[in-house]
Amino acid sequence: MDAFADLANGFAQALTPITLLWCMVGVTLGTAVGVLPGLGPALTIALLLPITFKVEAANALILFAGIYFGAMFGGSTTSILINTPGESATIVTALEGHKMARRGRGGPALATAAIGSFVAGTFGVLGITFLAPVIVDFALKFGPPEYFALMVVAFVAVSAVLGDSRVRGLTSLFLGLLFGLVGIDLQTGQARFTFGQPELLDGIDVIVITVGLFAVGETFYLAGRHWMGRDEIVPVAGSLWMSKEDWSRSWKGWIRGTLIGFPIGAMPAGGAEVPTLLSYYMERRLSKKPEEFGHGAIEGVAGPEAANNAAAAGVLVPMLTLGLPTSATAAIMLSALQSYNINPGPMLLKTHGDLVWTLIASLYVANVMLLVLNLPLIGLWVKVLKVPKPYLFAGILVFAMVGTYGVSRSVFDLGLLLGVGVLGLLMRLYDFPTAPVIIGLILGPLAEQEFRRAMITSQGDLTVFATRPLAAGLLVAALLLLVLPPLIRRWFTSRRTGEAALEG
Amino acid sequence: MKFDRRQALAVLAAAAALPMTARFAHAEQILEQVRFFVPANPGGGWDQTARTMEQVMRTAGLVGSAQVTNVGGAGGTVGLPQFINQWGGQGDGLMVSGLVMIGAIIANKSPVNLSMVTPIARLIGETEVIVVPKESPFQTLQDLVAALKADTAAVTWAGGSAGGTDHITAGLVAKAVGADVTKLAYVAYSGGGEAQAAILGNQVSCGISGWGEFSEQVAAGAIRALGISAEERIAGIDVPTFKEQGVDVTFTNWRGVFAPPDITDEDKAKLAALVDAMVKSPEWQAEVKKREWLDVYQPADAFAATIDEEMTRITGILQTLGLA
Amino acid sequence: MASQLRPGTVAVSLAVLCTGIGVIVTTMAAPTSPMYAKVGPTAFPYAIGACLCGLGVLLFLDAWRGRWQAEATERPDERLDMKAVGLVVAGFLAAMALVGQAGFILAATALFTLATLAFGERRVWLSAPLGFLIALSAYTVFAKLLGLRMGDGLIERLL
Repeated sequence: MDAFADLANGFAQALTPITLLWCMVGVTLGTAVGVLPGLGPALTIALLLPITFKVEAANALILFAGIYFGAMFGGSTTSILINTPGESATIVTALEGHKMARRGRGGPALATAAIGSFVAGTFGVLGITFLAPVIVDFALKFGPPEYFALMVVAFVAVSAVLGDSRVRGLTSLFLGLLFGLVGIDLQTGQARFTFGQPELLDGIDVIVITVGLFAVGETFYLAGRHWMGRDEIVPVAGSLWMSKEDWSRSWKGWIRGTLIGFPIGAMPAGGAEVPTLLSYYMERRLSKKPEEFGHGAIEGVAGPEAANNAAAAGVLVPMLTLGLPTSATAAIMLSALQSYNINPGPMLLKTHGDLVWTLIASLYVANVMLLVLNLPLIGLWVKVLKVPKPYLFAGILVFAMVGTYGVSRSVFDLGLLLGVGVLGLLMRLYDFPTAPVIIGLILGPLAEQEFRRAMITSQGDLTVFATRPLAAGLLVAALLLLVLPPLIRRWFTSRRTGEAALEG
Repeated sequence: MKFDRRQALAVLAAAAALPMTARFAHAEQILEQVRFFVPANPGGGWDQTARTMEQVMRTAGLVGSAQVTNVGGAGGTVGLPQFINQWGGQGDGLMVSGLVMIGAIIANKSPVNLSMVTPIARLIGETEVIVVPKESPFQTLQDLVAALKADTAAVTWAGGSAGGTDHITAGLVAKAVGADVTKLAYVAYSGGGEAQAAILGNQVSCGISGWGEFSEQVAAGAIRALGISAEERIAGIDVPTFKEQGVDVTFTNWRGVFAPPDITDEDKAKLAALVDAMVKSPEWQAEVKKREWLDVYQPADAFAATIDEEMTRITGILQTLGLA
Repeated sequence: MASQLRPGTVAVSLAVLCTGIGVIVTTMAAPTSPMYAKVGPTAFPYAIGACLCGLGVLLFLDAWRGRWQAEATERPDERLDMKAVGLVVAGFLAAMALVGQAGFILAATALFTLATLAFGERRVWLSAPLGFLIALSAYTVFAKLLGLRMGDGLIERLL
């Protein structure tokens, strides 16, 4: 196995004291920006690009890899503890994770997220090492019809996050789809729903909606009800650590999340949001305790967190094998390579194999380091909940301002944040779930663009969705997901009542 | 929260000590500091240009310090109003922009335009290239042209956003060969990576973009280049021009720098001198060569005239494409 | 049934319906591009607008029949503390007004202080300086050390 020897060489490079120090700086910085709402790894790496003039290539890449994985780890922390996801990929984590934290189970939620991230990262790195060519071939088979079919599957999975009322859940989803329409239409260059505002031409930033609906909306809601003494979060109840039951409910979620996240992350238009949603849906369907979903089911944290991190590793596959930057972070890491006179492309592995293997090995090292750093910190993180509420939420608002105004320097964005925050308050008061808005905002434009691309390439022939086997297969899967679960549930309930009748 | 902040502070302090680049001046410093305004997100062409300029100016000792600000979106029309309204009169500001912005201003009917800022210099250019998947039946540009004439809508193109330089070039080619431009089956992608994946995966008939986007894939034999939009062949690029193959279209996507409105003549002269010194530095020449850019340097006055010409030309093309 | 009718839920359902109608009307007014596209830029807006209209009607039926179990309808006697919500809104408005001229640090301090007031912290002498310190350290870390450009201002100029 050549890959083994190359990987061993990479590890030799990645395990020197100096590189370990760089990795340490990277993961800590990454965790910090992941925790803060609005700031992501792409921006952080861009800000640190000048470092490439001074530091040798391997060290800079290790630093960036640390930031990248660290941000993925850190993103889940605030989602779980204070229901304020810093980026769109951790919204699904907040659904169950925050419910767990409210019941005093923040410790196990953070632990399953950290271990799940580690498991996914480990398999992700192994996947990059041994499966990259296969995965890339598979990912390139995805044309517009296949992507659209994948989006249809994702829309079916949205049903898992709609909440108690289908009508209100769907209203949230369609509100998100509406937000997704704002801006210049990619295919025709026509502005839609911009009302003459230049700030809206580029669409509504997912970050502004996420931070607005969750962080600001939550602040409004708690401020408006503070004197009732309700919504008191229990800081810690029981063990900080995962129980035996937690372990047995988590590990399958980690594996399944990884298996979903890695290939979808490797697809050029895949992203991390679709796999987290699919993983949540799957865990909810396969759980032995589906009634706990919506009230803090640990599987609902384990699966999506693993999917999120596996997708983050998957994104690196097209970047390292084909030189394709398929996410903002990958694009910036590639431009960092250029300042070292390395032209990223399909020849990267051949011409600069040593560097690529060092990067892969340091990803793994970063992963181990994050686990080692994060597990002991869980006790400290949970203490965040003990910060007096006025200061905790006022502080969150200040960081929300850094993440929006500080990035765009636009007062308009600040106003938008306020407006979306008020919307978030109304949605909480009238029991509309907020997560479907974000999912609609992300899936809508993808589904629309891919559908229209498919129509252009097929000259308007709708049968492409049936004649292309991969697309057809995905659509059949979506149909089955829609039809089968109710049938199975009916079968189970009838059998259970039958058994009960027998026992009685 | 408390813990997180303390931890963040310590690390940031450690990390921030690093980017301070060593300044070894071997040229006279022209400005104490220069601040780049990039109306696009990090990672793209304008951003790379700004960051390369920053690097060259610092290593050549032309400026004391430099910073880059990104305000991305809509071909630069989100950032431009901000540059005009908030940066006015600031003699150390330089906006990196280019032909793409002219197209976006026209297509988005932007209330502000490039006549409201101060042109400093045109710097670099890039040729457009048409590529096909390696499985494609098209061997030469003529093969593609023949298919385009036979059934315009059956030839699908992958490129950047609608109304951008890729779309404009595709429209010019279709028009020049007498195909129905309104039937052009142009599939817009938002990032270079996605368009490349569509071509590599043989999902479209052909792809069109700047040479830099595809050069590595072409060198690796993963895709085939049919022709470039430059006036004549370019050293180091073994691809014939459109003109050579009977398609009378030339097009170069250029990038340049602009100062804010209302700056003093003295500041303008200083910025022009700074950019001129940078262009002449060996460091810049090396970067241009390394990144396979075309050196299309034009000082302020000639550049202003170019912008006027391009405004007219692009308006015409976008009208035929139905975008203006 | 009418006894369970809550004006809030009816208003929300009508707002959703109006949004749907608004989307359709706006889309009809949009110019159509002559460009080649089998499915144009208006198809999805129409579909989304129509669905929002339908959902608005369904929500209205839920509200009319009193089937809308929500925070706002379950405990109508426990009113939302509008003063607290107003204070957070005021915090944002103050930040928006201040951020251009006075700069990020003072704007964020105002936001912080008003938000703590909303949560019932009356000791402004404590919260305002604390907010200032948090804003100052956020600015120092992101603007000074990482080079994020967060604009100029009164305090920023002194740093």
